[in-house]
Amino acid sequence: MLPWKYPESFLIAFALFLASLGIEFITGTTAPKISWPANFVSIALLANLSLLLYLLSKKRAVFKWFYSVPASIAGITSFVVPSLLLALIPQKPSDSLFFLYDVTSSWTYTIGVVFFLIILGTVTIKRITKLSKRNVGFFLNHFGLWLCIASAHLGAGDIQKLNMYLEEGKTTWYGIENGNRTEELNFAIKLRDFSIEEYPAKIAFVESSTGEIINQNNKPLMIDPHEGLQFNYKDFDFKIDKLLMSSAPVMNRFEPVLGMGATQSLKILKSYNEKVDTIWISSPSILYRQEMHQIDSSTIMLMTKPEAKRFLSEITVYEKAGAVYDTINEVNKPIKIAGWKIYQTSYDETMGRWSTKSILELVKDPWLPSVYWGFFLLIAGTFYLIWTGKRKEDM
Amino acid sequence: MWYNFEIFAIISLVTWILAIGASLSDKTGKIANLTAILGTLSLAVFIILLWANLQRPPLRTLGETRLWYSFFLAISGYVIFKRWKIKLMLIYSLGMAILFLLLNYLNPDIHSKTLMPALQSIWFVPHVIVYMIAYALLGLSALFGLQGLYAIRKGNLKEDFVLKTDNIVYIGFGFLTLGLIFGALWAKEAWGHYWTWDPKETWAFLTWAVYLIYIHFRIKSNLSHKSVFLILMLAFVVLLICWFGINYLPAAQNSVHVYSS
Repeated sequence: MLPWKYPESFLIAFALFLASLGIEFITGTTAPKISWPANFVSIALLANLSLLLYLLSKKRAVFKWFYSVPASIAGITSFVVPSLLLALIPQKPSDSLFFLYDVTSSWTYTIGVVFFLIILGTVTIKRITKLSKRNVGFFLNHFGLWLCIASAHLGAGDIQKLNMYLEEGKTTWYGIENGNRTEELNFAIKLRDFSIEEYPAKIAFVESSTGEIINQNNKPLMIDPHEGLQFNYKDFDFKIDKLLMSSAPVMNRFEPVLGMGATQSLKILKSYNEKVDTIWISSPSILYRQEMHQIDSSTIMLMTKPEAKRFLSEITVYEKAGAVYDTINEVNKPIKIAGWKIYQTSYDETMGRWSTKSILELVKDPWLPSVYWGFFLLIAGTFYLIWTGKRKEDM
Repeated sequence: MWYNFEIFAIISLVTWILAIGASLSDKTGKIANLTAILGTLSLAVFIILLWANLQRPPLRTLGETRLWYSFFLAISGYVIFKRWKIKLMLIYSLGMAILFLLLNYLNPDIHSKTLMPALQSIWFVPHVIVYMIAYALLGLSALFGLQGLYAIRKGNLKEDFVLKTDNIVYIGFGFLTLGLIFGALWAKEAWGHYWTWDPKETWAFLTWAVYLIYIHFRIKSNLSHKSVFLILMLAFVVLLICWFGINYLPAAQNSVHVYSS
């Protein structure tokens, strides 16, 4: 017989919740963020604590509670409650009431996760001791989850993030942490070229009195242009005759050019009462006036600022160890240099595709392999779960 | 290369519609199997030819990703149908697969074509597909919950029905887990970290946790069947908040997952 059931289990979780609030109000601080080697020691301690609880359960029935189903649910709940706060309350940097506004740094969250891990760890150990085919799926799911939650939370203190601000033609050998602290790196990067490929800019219909985009059926009235596209607005019919991705104004039309400041433009045929007009509109440019078209007294048609389809930095890497090589850093295709994973994140947005600056993010997460092992075990366990489902014996 | 698309698409469409029809009538199990497989094969051949012709994996345009949606939906639906005899999943998956093929065929401008660079990833398709399947299964489990409540009122609830409901939750939960992990792996490649407590992530985690609690409750508790079915429907409400509701939550205004512009 189990010592404690659901009411007692929830009571324990609730008591822990109150205790964590108490700690927050007495100390007035967030939970400490631990790093190497303290986090490794903590994980080892947690695992050993679970082992100890399991061993104790052989001597005293009271410890059987730690791998009971009610305890599992209490454990999940104490992880879920802080997450629910996180989901409902907009988070912001704050110097008090962390359990509401800065949940992930709060004692409530930390203690909730630790309690969850202790229960999950004990349950896992209990099942490893009876290794059978049936327990394989159980082990993969529970240990996989333990491994990824434990490494993700306790390893968070070891994550290092830097930004690298590159300029075309220049070589940079340092990163900037939290916007101010400079850190020298064991490699340097020279930005050879930064380039952006754009989507055709959307056509928008704007209320001339307010300057706001008109809403139709609760959606902003915008169109993705392509050559040959026909559309209408009020009594006017429009047809896109030409779409120029890189152009400049010449007299009262646009011509394809490649130089600095070139912008997207559209040649549109506007017909009304069998009268056809040719009009040009263009995207904002750093150099030229943006062409818009006044459709009638209340409406303007214009081209919005284009969105980036892809952007990338062509770089040369100089490693301290001596290696020199050319490579490309692109969104969704991070590269690895000397233990850093490097992401293309941003550029000088005021210059758009004429940006000569590129911003990279450098991330070092020594616990990542451990988290990924957790993921892979979980994926394997999940396939097992999908295939076997629930058996009658489990009830 | 897309010129031949009509031929393959029509074979898939016709055979899948036959499969749906056949699985609706109980006696023609063989026909349902054969036509479901044939339609999927036809699409597979088209994807292989397209791949060879483009000399790159066809994963770059929305049209190309829709091919994979259709393909994997059909396969997953069929496997779930074979393993668990859930006919509704075969009908749903083939129905969705047909929808995506039709979208490619008719090519209407139903949504913005601009896809921000971070979303152009090979994880897009698997992430979305496993969620589509998970949501469908868990939606189905909520319907079972409703049917269960009705059966309790009528006094003819069978234990087998409860076990079948649990099984649908198990499979749906499995796909939910895969969706969460695929999303995390993608996020690491695109944004530099696998978990940032983005509001959608937070709600996805809550949804996952609620079903996790359900599963554990069902292993050992004195809850009546009535409360079990009610929990199941409540869990689906959390899922719906995660799916649509977060667009309206104050905590979610800067999420990458808010789909409205």
